[in-house]
Amino acid sequence: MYAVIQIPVFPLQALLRQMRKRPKGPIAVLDESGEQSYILTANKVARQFEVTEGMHPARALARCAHLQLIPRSEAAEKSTTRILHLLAQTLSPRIEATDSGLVTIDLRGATEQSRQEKLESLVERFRTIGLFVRIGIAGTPDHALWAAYLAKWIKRVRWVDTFLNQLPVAVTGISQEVVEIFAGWGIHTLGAIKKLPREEVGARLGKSGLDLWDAVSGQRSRLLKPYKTEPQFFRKLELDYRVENLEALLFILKRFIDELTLELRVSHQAAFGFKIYLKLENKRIQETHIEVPIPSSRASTLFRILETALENMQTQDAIVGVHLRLDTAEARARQSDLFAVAMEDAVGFGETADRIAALVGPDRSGSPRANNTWRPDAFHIEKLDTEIQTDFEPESHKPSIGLPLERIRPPRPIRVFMQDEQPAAIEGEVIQGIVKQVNGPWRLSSDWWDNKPWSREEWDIELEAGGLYRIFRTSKGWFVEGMYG
Amino acid sequence: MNDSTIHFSDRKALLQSLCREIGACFASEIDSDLVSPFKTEIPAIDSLSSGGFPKNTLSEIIESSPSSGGNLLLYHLLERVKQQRGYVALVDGNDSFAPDSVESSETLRHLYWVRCRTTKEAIRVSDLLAGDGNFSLLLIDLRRNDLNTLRRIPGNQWYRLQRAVQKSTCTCVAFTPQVLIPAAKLRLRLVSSFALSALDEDHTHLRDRLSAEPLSDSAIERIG
Repeated sequence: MYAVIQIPVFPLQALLRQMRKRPKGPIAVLDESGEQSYILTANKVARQFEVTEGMHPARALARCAHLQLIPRSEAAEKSTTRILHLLAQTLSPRIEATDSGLVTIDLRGATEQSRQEKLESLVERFRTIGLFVRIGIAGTPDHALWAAYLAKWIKRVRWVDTFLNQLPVAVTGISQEVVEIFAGWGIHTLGAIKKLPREEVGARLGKSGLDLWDAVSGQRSRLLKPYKTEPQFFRKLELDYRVENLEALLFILKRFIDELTLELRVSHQAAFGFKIYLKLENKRIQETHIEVPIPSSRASTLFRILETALENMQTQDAIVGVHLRLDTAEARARQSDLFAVAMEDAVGFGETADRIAALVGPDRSGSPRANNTWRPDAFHIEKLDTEIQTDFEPESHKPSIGLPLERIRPPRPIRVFMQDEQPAAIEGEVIQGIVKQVNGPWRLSSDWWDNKPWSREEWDIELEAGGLYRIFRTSKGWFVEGMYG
Repeated sequence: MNDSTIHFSDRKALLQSLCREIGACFASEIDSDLVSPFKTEIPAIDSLSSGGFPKNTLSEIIESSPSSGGNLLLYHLLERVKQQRGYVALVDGNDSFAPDSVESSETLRHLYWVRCRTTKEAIRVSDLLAGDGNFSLLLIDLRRNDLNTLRRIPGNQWYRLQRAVQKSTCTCVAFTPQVLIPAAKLRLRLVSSFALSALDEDHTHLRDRLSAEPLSDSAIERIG
């Protein structure tokens, strides 16, 4: 079984794909490479005005005054051809670059259901990157090609004879002279050609007739010329206009990311970083390196990282060229440990964490760890583990006694009135009142062996008005450290 | 019908009906009635909340008197997330969380702590975390933030947070010093009172002694 993917009006679709704002109305692509310019292809609206391929532009404009003529772009066609080949390779590694905007795929080995699902998904995939395709599926490459010409989206040839009876002879691409010969015999469809004796066709038309008959009857065993894309993890674009805002730059980079993630998928690689080179109007090159926290080949993830990183970027001048290069590594398919706890979207969390850090400042967000010291309120912040391996070693547990403390940072100074060597009343900004009950004192000190020794006398108090607090005394006076609750 | 002829109760019913219709338009959101609640295993809370804090919604715990068990509840919720093998985010409105008060060091590995300086920071961080999608529990501690600043938070900010939580699989619990959140679907006030002797009691006994009372929408104090 074979599939043919065709991009109709290929030069035009290749151009439109690169435009931020697609023009409306009658459009034609102009080929100016030869001595004389001519219309290479035109859209449906232009065809309604009888603008056809090969026409001189002046004649085309005479037929359609509003016709928009866009010069052909080989760079756009090259880029679109590459996408076509990469996407085709997601169906099967056995592909042939049959023609411009046309690829033939050997689907042998795939089940019918998986084939149909993948093809539907592929059509949608093309659509999301701005390309309309037609796909034909048949038992031979020739039939698949003709099916593609007839397809609205996907056409599968089930009943060959019925299919051939629909096809005019000209669809095979044979010369007009031969088409007229067949017409003279009263033969107008491929179905009618198939009914002719092979020898008679060969006798009258020679080898080309035999080839045609074999192709129509499905007996031509044509081997595909295998085509393999070599991975390219960079994209470049020289602009013929100036880019002066982030939105326009992101439009270009989004297209690059869509194409590059295809390259990653096909070659089983993942990106762990970007290098962006922006060519400025003042001839300088501005370089930016961006790290991907967890290697990924997903377009949405990579684009989000790029967008966040470029949010506050500024350039000294307008941008006239863009070059994006990926740092890649082999993608690992890893099964998580059954007992591990892992985040669903670690990359997404990375972006959230970056935004929060930008908001609250560095070292004020993360996973806290108590320091190994008796010094009160000693902790440090680490990056949150997005995958926590189960540690079967016994955890360190505090005795589960008492109410947790809610800290007042920094501890606030208070005035303490003592009675019988115990706090009897408190006066301060945060707490004040008569002390109902006390526990303490607990005298603590440590770090006397280095240059930051500390010592304090702690009390737990309950105020008559309610509330349980921890207060402490040092050489600098009395402070309230927190509230229990 | 002239607006002035509609009685207050009719207007309220009309508004509720409109809210239901608008809510029905957001078909893609997870129906919180179908999702089992976040069980706290604290009898006082689970009995008043149909089994636990409802998921995909914003709940409010009010601690209007000191040492009434807010910290005990908050720290216990951290332990629960660890037991359920998830992640919890704590938006600390006034940087008052004490890592050294947590029972188990392993619990801290499941915790993402954000030490905010201002109420504005706390609300913005809460919005970001509600939309992250990686946390099974989002705790917002505003108990020590300035009350006047808290009262000035516009109601639509809370509704926006509620909508962000609704689209996720996260349970969101905000701890406040007073009833403040019009968008909260569950509102409980802690009414326990602990004496100094509680500092020598086992956590299990203390949690069993936690008590709370439900508060309705009419408890929202509107401050101009």
